[in-house]
Amino acid sequence: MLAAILQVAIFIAISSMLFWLVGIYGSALRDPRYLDGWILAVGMLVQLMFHVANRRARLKPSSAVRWRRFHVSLGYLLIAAFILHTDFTLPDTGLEWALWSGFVVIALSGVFGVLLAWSLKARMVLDEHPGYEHIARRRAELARDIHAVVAADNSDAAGSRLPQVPYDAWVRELYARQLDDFFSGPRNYASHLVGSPRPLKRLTDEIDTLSGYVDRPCQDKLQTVRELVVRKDREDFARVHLGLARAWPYLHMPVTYSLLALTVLHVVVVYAFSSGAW
Amino acid sequence: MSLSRCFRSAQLAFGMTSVSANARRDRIALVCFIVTVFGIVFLFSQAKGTRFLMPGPLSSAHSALGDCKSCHANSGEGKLDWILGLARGSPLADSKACITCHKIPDPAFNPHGATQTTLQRSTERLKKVAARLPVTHAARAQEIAFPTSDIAARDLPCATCHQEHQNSGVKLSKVTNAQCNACHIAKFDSFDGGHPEFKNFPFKKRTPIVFDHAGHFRKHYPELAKKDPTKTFPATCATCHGSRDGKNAMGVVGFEKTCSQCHRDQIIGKARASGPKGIAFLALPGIDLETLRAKRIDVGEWPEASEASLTPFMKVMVSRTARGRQLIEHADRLTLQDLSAANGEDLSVVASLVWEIKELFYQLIEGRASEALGDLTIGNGAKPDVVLAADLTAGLPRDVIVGAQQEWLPNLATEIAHRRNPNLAEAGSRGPTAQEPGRPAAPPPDTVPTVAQSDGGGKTAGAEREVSDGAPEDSKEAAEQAGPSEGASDGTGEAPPVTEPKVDTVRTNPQDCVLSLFGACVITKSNGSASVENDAVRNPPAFNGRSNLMRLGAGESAQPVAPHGSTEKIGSASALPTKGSTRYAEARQVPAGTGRKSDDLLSPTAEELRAIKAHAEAAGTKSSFGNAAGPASSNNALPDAASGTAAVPPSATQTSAPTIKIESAVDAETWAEYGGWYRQDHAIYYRPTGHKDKFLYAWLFLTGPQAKQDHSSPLGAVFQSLTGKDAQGACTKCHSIDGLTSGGRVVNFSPVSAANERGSFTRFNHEPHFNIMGEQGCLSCHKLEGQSPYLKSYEQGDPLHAVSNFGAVKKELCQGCHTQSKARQDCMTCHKYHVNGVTAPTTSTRTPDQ
Repeated sequence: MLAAILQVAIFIAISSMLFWLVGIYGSALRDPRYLDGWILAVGMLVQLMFHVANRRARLKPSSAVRWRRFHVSLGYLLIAAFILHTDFTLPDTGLEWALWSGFVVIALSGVFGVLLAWSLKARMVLDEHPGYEHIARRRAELARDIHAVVAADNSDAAGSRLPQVPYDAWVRELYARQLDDFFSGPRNYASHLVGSPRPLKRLTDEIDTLSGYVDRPCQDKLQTVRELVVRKDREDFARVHLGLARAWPYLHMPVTYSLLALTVLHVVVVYAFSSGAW
Repeated sequence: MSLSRCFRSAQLAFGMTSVSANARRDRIALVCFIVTVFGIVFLFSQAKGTRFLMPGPLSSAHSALGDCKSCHANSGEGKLDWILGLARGSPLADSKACITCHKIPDPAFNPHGATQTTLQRSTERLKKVAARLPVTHAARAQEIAFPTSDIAARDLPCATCHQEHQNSGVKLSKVTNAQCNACHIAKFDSFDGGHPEFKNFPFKKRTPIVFDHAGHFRKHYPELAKKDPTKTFPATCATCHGSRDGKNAMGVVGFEKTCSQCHRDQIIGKARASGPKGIAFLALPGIDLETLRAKRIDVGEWPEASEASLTPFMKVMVSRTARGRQLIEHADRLTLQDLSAANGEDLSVVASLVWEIKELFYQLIEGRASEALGDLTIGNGAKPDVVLAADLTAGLPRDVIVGAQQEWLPNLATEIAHRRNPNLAEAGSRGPTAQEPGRPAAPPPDTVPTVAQSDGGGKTAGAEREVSDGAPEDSKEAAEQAGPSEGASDGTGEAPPVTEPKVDTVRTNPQDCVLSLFGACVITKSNGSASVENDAVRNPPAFNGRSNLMRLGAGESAQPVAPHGSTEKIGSASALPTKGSTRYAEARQVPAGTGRKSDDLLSPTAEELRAIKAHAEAAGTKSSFGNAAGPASSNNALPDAASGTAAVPPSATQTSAPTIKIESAVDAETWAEYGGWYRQDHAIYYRPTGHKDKFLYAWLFLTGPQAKQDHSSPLGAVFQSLTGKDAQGACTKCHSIDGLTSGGRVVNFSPVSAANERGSFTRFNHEPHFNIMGEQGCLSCHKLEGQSPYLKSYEQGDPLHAVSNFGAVKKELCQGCHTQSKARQDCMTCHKYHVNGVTAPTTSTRTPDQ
């Protein structure tokens, strides 16, 4: 936590420095857009180097982590530089919109990826997860397990003369009504995307409520069911987050390449039409 | 990359084949890159121009600009020509496009558009100010990280401050305090946050008009008030002052509404107690003729009575040639009226000067008045334009010069002819020498040239014409068509052999004029009126009258009585018809049979003449109609039209007719009391017509820049004569004189105006401040200081050495309102960047027929 606060403080300090630097540059009879523009362009090039290094070089895990941290920190600074470059205004023309949109998409996707990885809950859930590829199998196993649990008959019919209360039937009814569908596939995508525990809580509350009306064996069964539901919910969460973690670079990277092409054009146009102010 | 490979990449990228996630992502990125590049290419191919490359809309003022090339000089016409802009040419190329519409005086791209001298002077001053001000850390850091001295040292492109493509509503002229601080050595945040104290504001420069407020309030206005106690002089400050020209300058209302009541008479000379009221323009200077005669130096005829000096204007005109300049330089060292101590060279120079003056008069009559200005140039070497040339001569009528010449140098034509053609002189000078009084010096009759004047339209008929048998046919025809002329008085058209001796002589003193006609001496009294008698003998009265009419018909009568060498000569030279000569045309139509008769309408009859004579005798005084042989000659005997003396009827030129002269008690100077040309004694004067007199303005404008302080040059002498303490017109009584760096001077004719404010870094709009003035009005800010040496400050030429009648405005006065919480106080409130202004010229318009 302290490290995070320190990182934020450093980012704010560097960004402020950047703002001040561009400010005094602009006051010195120069066009500040040239300064923050070049800071932006060089930063983007360095960010691209991170990608190249990741792909081409065989980085040690520790180096890869450092690279990633640098990439993220520089990314934040580039957002500050971008805000300076656009002077807190929206673009006016098509080419500017393309540039602006490209950068915004890259920046948002990057920030999203970082937030995704930074999420405390995700860390707790996913740290021990074997990976996205295993989710389907694990979900199937859970479905099979819960089916077996629910199907097991705990009633002591032989030892009792009186008609039994149908606790098992209640559990089966619960399964048939809600759990079967829940375990049959990925569920609650939107809630997991926003980190909402409400669907899980609704299920567990229902199980807990039922648990108060059943006998001891059924209570144990429902406890098992409850654990399986929680595990299934984690799998759904893992699926959403691991899926997003795999998906955002598909946006981040291609748009970066497009932005690179547009940036080259932008620089050429700027210098070709420069009217003397630098 | 080929299409198939591209397709394959797309397949791989979108997972249509089995590849790793990273590889797939890379391939999608590559495809996006390629798609983007192709998109750009497609955009270029489809777009009509290059406007899609614009980073943003133009400001509304520039929104009508159609293409990039209008401002971006290197962008070219084609779709890709703009790439050439990468190979930068002049960094000011685009800025030069700006000043095709926004005119900025040179040096346009210097900081503030000010000259290097001004900038250096300002920098030196601000260095002293900056030494007293604290420097902020930001300013210090900026100076270290991004120094501006190198930028400010070179030309500044317009885009340094005015950045386009921001938006349609952006104010391009906005300049921030930070931008000002970027260059300025004295850095401060705001007016009340460190702005230095004012130094003698607003009197950085003295006013162009010399007006002693203290003196007027103390002395002159009270005197006026005594005359009319019902009025207050002046009613308010606004009586004389008004904000105009962009509301920045409190200019003066104008001479006619303010000063003329008291000062007009000073300009036109009415208030002058002594000395001539006009400016001597042309004069025959008095010369020690006795010494010249004694040394046997021939100067031809010259008025002995003249006591005039060589006027500065004549010095300028004589100096129009290199020889003339040498003569003037030499003559300036001599006393022309006393040459007793002069050596041979001096006398030779004087003689040459006399002939130069004669040539000048000759040329003024023969050619255009402006030609006498010769190679005069304005200060920058340019020739005077038509307007200036016209103003320099102030419409000097030829008749005035002709009249003067007839009176002063009646034989000028002959003398010049001899001088130009020595053979003529040799032939004619077999008699006595020219220097001796009364000694004839005219050439033989058959070779005497005559001067024919141009008609009213300015056509010059040649100064010297000698007609022989080989003369052009049209000349002969003209002589024939003229009917009985001087040489063909019998009406036969054939030239009778004329054997009279010369009729024109070169005399030291011009002969008295017996009869003048419209300012021209027609008949002179020579040797006991022999000339008149000879004329009378040679030419019958009627013919004589008509010949004079013929001269009048030619519009001019500068030539003396024409010699009668031959019929052809007379016919062609004197009676040569000229265009637009109505009278001459009428005279030509006189029937042959009536040639000897006088004109009843124009000539007095015998009875009338007798009556006139009787009237004159009865009066016992000088008759207005003098006898032909009488003493009707004086320097004023041949007044021109400007002198106010009317001409006599033509018929009075008959031999027996008396000289008719209208005497007037009004002298020529008084006659011209409202200005204009007049002749008096041996000089032609110009009397200023009033304020804004073009003649004075033109000569001061011309001579000022070339008039050095020592007044050694002729131009300097003219400038000195027009700007002296007692100079006619009294221009420089109110219009100050500034010294130029070239050594010359300039008279400030324009009062304070927006144009005068050019070069000033400070602006002040009076109008918004009117409502905060108290009871004291203008004196709230401008305290009258009567003891300041205001007038003395104008005795030197540096306009920046200013002393005012009013006390300087202090910073505290402005700080009463211009603070953080009240009125605005940014730099541009009171200062301007483009000190010489920026103007937008009127757009060029094609006329409908183009």
